[in-house]
Amino acid sequence: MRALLILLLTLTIVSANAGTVHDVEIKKHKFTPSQITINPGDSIRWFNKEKRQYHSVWFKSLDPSEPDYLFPGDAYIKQFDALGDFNYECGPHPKMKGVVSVVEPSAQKHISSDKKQELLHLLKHDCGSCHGMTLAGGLGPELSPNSLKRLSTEQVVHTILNGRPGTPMPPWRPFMNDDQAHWLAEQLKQGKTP
Amino acid sequence: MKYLLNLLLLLFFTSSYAASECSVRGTGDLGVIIQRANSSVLVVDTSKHETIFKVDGVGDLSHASIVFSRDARYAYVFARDGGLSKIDILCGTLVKRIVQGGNSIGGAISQDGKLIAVSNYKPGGVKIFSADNLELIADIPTTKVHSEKNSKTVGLVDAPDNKFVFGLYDTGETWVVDMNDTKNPKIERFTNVGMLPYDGLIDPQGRYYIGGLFGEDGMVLLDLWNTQDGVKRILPNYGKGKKKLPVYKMPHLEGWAIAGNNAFLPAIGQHEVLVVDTNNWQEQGRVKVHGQPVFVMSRPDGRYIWVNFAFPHNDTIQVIDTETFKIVKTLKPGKGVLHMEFSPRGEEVWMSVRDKDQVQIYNTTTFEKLATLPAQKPSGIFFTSRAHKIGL
Repeated sequence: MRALLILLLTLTIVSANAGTVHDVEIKKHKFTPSQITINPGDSIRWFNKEKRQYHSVWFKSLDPSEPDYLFPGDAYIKQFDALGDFNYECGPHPKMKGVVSVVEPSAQKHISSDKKQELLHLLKHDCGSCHGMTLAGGLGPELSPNSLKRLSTEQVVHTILNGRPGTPMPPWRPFMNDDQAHWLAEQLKQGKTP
Repeated sequence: MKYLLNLLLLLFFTSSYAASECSVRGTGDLGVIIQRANSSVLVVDTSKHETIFKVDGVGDLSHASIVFSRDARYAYVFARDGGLSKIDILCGTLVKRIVQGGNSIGGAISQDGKLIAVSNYKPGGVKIFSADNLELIADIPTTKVHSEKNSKTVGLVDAPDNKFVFGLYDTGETWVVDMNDTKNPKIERFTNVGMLPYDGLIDPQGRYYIGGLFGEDGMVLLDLWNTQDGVKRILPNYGKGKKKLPVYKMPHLEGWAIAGNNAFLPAIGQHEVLVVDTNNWQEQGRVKVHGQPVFVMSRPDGRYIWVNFAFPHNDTIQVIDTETFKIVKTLKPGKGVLHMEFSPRGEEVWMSVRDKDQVQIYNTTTFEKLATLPAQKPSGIFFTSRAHKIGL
């Protein structure tokens, strides 16, 4: 039994290390999202979606020489293995900035099953007062995996923790930490909700 | 052992709630309680403090409300999933259920008792049905938002002269619909009333409609006797100079917490109840309370105001003296106090305590807990005395 568990864990880690590819759009002189949190082994694909403007993705601290420009339709992929925050900017437009945070996978961070139950209860009943108990929407938008497709897990985490200024969505940071918000965002993205 | 207990519980529930034996009795002391998590409502006897029927199959009740027919025999349940159900509370049966929209927030019954109006988020607008057979009578789509979907509707109430009044959340409007000619509803539109009206209420005379705003400090007031004067802003900038606190549940403007000349209203983003003089609509004072107020409800005689709160303060109830504006009692019924309802003359109050799966009944003079009824994840409580009140 224990051997099986270890095997499963190993598989999880191996598959996590195979890496996910996250997308960052370059549009209207902005990196979107400008802040992205990933796990070691993940890659990021920057995609220039401008009509005619070229840009670059320059990690000055990693490489002092300026990289090639990305023209509209071009993409640049980079894999991250080390932990840490990596700042970057656009060579021709230094005001365009972004940051990649590489953190340990949240699956390996411990959230007790009691806390998980508490988070799901919160989701159903308290998030549910605006989003509907089945998360089909109400005054707040629907939160099904399909309707959340347009957002990355990081963007969902950001919305949960910080709220959305100008809308009734409040910040839930007082009631959960980053890892717990990440876990909740994953449940939402995968439709594993009560 | 557990199985045995379940079996016993099952037997108990089946026997005591056995449906379809219609009672020969008046309905004046009956009520209906929403069980938000399992598509059902309980019919309760408020004199005996007991449940008489459980009615299933009324849809997603995440957010649900009820109005009563004028004979107080039928309850109309507005469900989140767009469902409109008509329940016979003498027989404990579901008479008819239709799904009239994708996502609804509430409804109202017309002055003459013949029309049921439903406020919809998706598709945004108001639909009006025959109270008798739930056939569609009028469909009133709202203003388009970004030329796509229609604005969500909020704060729908009935008004004298067979009218309905409601707010448009996305586009900041107040509409008055005259249903005297049911084939040709006449709509009066007030635009640019304020940002994100989230709910509304009407006074017991049916003269003043007040809409709460989420997008800015203040409320909107429409005098239905003088609609040519348009919508006025009251309580402007009530949060000025203060940090707006996060709102973990939208307040509900239901009924009119009025005492003497003063109306008591929930602030948004401030842990305060605002007091306004209804003669001149000037602020009279504020009462600092335990959290973000959700329901601010007057005991029917107007002597005290009872307030419940949004998460994470929803385990508490506070009672305000309407003469001194002081808090005279703080109760802790348990986590998730979602709604309260006073008996018709106010000697008792019933409250839903969601996380305890209880409805608790209190004496409003001594604050003594009189009884506890089991209910699964209860939310709204509605007594038939609403049948004869404007705006409820």
